[in-house]
Amino acid sequence: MGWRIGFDAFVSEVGGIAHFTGRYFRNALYPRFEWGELLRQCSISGYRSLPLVAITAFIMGLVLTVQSRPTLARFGAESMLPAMVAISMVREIAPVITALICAGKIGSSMGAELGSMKVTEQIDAMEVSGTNPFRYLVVTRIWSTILTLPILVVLAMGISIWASWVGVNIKDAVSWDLFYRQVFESLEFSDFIPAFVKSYFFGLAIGVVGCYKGYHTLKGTEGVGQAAHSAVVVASLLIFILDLMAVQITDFLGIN
Amino acid sequence: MSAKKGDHIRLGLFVLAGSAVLVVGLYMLGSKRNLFSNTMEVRTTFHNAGGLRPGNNVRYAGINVGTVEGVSIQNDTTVLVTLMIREDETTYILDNAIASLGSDGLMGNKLVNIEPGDGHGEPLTDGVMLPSTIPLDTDAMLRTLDVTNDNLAAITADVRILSERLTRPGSVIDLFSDTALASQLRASLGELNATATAARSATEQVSALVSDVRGGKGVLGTLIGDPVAQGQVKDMLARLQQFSDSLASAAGEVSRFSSALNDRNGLANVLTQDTTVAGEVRRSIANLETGSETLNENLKALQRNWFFRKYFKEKERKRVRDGGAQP
Repeated sequence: MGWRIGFDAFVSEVGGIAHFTGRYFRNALYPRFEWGELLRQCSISGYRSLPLVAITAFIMGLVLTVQSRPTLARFGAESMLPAMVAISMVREIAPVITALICAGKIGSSMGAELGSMKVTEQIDAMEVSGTNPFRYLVVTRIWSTILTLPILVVLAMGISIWASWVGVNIKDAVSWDLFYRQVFESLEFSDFIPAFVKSYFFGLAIGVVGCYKGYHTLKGTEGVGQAAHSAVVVASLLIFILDLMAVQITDFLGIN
Repeated sequence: MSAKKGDHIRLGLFVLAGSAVLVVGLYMLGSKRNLFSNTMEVRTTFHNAGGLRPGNNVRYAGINVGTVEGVSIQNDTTVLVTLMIREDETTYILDNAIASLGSDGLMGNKLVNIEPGDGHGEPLTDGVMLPSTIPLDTDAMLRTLDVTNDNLAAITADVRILSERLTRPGSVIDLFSDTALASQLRASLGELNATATAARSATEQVSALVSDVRGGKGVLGTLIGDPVAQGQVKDMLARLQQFSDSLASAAGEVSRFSSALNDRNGLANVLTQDTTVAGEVRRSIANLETGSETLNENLKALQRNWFFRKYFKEKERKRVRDGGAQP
C-alpha cells in the first residue's frame, strides 16, 4: 500500500502545483502590482545569481571545447569546433545548466524564505494587516524568475562562447573575429529562439515550485529545510520535463 | 535608501548587459538572413534541388551575397529556387550569370553558386530568372568510382602475380643480383664507350672532310665547287657516253660476226667444226710448205742466173750503203 500513498502524494503535489500556478496567473496579470518588491526580487534572482551562472557557463564552454577538440582533431575537423560548441551551448547546455543553477540557488532560497515566513506566521500577519501576501510574496518572486532567467541564459550563452574561444586558443591560435564569425555562421534563429522561449518556462517552473514549497510549508523549522530541499529537486525535475516537451514541440513544428 | 538605489542600478546594468548580448546575437543572426539590408529577389530553376533549404548561402565568386529564400516544386521536372541577393552586392552580377548547386566543403551545407556568364548581360533586376547548370552528380561519380575500384583491384591482382613471378629464382630479377653479369656488363659498357669515342672521332673526321669538300679543297671539293671542272667532267662523261655507245655498236658488230662464224654453213664453222675440211686444209698447208721450199730453191737458183745477178748485186750494195744492216 506504500506505493499507493506515494502515488496519491505525487498526484496531490501535481494538483497543488497546478492550482498554485493558476492562482499565480490570476493575480499576476491584474493590478495591483508590487513594483518595488518585484525589482528587489529581480535583483536577487538575476543580478546576484550572475556570478554563479557566469562561472558555470565559462567552465562549461571551456570544458566542452577542450573535451571535444581531440575527437574533432582525429577527423581533421578542428575548424568545426566553434560551430559545435556554439550550437551545443545555445540549444541546450546554457538554458538547462543556468536553469539548474537557478533552481538550486533561487528555488531553495524561495522555499526556505517563504517557509520560514509561513512557520513564523508572518504570512498570516500580512493577511491580517490587509496586505495580499500572495501578490506581495509569490507573484513578485515568480515574475522575477520568469524575467531574469532568460537574461541569465543569454549572458550564459555569450560567456560560454567566449570561454570556448579561450579553450580553442589553449592549443590553437584563432582570432576572436574569425571565431565569432564561425559561431554565427553556424547558428540559426531556429537554434536560439526555442532555447530563449523555453528559458521563460524554466523561470516559471523555478518560481512556482520554490514559492509553492515555501508557501505550503508545514512541521515548523524542520519543514523549512524540507521545503528548500524539495523545491530544488522538483524544480530540477520539472526543468528536464519541460526541456523534453520543448524539444518535442520544436521537432513537431519543424523548427528543430 | 541608498542601498535600494544601488540595487536598482546593479539590476539595471544586469538587464542592460543581458539585453545587449541578446540584441547583438539577434543582429548577427538576422544579418546572416539579410533581415537588416535591402535585398533583391532572383529566381532560378534546377532539375534537382539536392537538399537545398531556405537559409542556405548564395555565393558569387566565393563570397556570400545572399541566402536562399524558398525552394518549391514548379512542375514534375523543375524546382524553383528563390534567392535573396543583397542589393549592394548586385553591382557586378549580371542577368546572364549562371547558378549552380554546390556544397560548403565535403560535408557542409548545400549552397547556390553564381558564376559570371559569357557575353553581354544586363545588371540584375528584381525577379529576374537566372540560367542554371546541372549540378555535379555525386551518385554518378560514386558509380564511376566503383567501376574504377573494380578495375584497380584487377590491375593490382595482375601486378601481384607479376611481382611474384619476378621474384622467383631464375627470373629476370636474378640478373640484377648477378655480380659476374654486372662486371661483364661494366666491361661491355667500357668497350661501348671506346667504340662511341672512335665513332665520335670518325664522325669528326667525316665532318672535317665534308667541311673541306664544301670549302672546295681536294679533288672532290674542286669537282663540287669549281664550275669549270664540273664542265670538264660533264664533257668527259659525255665522251664516255659516246665511247660507250661506240663500244656497244662494236659489240653488236662482233656479235654479228660471231653469229656469222657460228653459221653452220659458214667458212669459219666449216674450218673449226668439220674434221674432213680441217684435214684437207692441213694437207694443203703441208703442200704449201713443200711448194714454198721448192719456190725458195728456184729463187736461189734464179739469183745465181746471170740474167738477174746484176739486179741482186745492186740491191746488196744499196742496203750496205744505207745502214749496213743484214737482210
